[in-house]
Amino acid sequence: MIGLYPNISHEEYHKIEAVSNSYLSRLSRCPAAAKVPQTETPAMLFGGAFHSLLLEGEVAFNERFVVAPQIDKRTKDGKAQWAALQELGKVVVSAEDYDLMTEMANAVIKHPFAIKCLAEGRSETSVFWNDPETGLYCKCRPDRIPDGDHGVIVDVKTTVSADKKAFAYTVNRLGYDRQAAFYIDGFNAVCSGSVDAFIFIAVEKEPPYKVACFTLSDGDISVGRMKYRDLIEREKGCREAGEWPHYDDEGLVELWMPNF
Amino acid sequence: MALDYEIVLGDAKIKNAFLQVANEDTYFKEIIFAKQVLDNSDALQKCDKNSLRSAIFNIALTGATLNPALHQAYLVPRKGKVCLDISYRGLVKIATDSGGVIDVDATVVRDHDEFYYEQGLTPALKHIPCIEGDPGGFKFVYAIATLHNGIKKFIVLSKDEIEKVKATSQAKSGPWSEWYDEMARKTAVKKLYKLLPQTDRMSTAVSVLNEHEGLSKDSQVKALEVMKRFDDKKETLIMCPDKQTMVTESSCSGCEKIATCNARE
Repeated sequence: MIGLYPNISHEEYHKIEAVSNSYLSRLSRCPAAAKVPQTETPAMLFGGAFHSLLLEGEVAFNERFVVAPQIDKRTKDGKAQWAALQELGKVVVSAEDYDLMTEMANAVIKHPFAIKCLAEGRSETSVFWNDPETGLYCKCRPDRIPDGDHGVIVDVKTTVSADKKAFAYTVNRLGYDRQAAFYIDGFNAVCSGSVDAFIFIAVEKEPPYKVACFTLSDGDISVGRMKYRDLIEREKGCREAGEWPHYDDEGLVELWMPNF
Repeated sequence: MALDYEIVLGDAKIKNAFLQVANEDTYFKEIIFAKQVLDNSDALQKCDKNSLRSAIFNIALTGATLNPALHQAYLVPRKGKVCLDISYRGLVKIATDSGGVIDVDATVVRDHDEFYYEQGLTPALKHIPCIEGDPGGFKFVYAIATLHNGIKKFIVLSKDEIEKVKATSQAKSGPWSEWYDEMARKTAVKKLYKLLPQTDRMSTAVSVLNEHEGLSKDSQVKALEVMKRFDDKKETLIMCPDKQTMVTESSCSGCEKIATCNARE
């Protein structure tokens, strides 16, 4: 399976075994971390629901999620209501969280440039490719690919601060630059080199839900590329050795104490 | 009576900042070096005093020295502000002193040098400089760092890539025209640093340099170029209840459901 697949559900996408950006994130801690089975944290769940609401609209959102009314789980009625919700087989989002994500989504679409990025386009298209150098099977799922030849991939990030400087730190700390390069290269591997820019729509999780659109220079994308190449090659080495050690360094490391 | 800049240099805040990261001895030495430079430069004396304060702060934070014999860092006037310029030598000193790497070095490759490099699964780099006759012009610059575990990391930048950095720098006429090789080597070290274990001192040094060159705040080249791609389409956007996404006015008008749709109301 190589190419762009617009109609793959989240569940199916996650089941497909391939090197993803989040796999590389875990690998960067230590190889063994990449192999730890993933459970969805409340923050991931919130992010997923918010993405669905903003990018796919309410209809798609309601297919995957259900908003729980205020339920008092201590009462008999409440327990029954809660059980009924669970039976729907959907992910339950609290009413509070739903209000919060609605506010955030409203803030995003009021940003003049963000709305241009989110106008007609494909959301959550799955991309699968073979890394040309290592042959490893890779996947990614860009939030948005705007229609028309804009040559960009758009990614929505919920963040503590959408401030220019603070977000730059976040990009470095969470490896968003690596993600950008990985997505661009993946997309280009199956779409003949048509994308060269990555746009982050950063939205804060607290009122007034500040929104900012950021992009990275070509130079910083190439740094991100080096970062992911390092990791992908490490993965290749692990596969050849058949081992994913839980350490980075096999020798003795002298600590360097910073000026506290 | 003390002159303005002498008051700034004697500022208790500067002393405190220094003492947090270095000892009193270093503080006094750096203040004396700074005073010597300022005493002899009308241009620096006329500069904004806050910028002098932050330049001195940055000396403390990076651990570079203004000692003229060591050629690590300089106070230079630029657009009415005192800037701290860190030399290639200074940058290497900060990188190794701050503990992120054991060693880092950048070298320029000339046209007639023998040069080969390979990235991927077995990275390799070989450079034999031309030692007889004219080595030719600037071709590449590469930086190599040795990490604490002995692993070496390197990057190679072509002349084109260096020219791109130069083009976005505000220091085009000064350092870039007079010390092209040194600026290229600094650029390579700065870029390589992004791939290395990060330290506070080195991060400060890199941002000080970028600020000095006007690289951090004013380089909006890519952002402007990408924004322009969207500008060609200045159509109004309408929320489509059917597709559950924003659509352009023209595609809304062309939609077959337009007669029964309430999107435009």
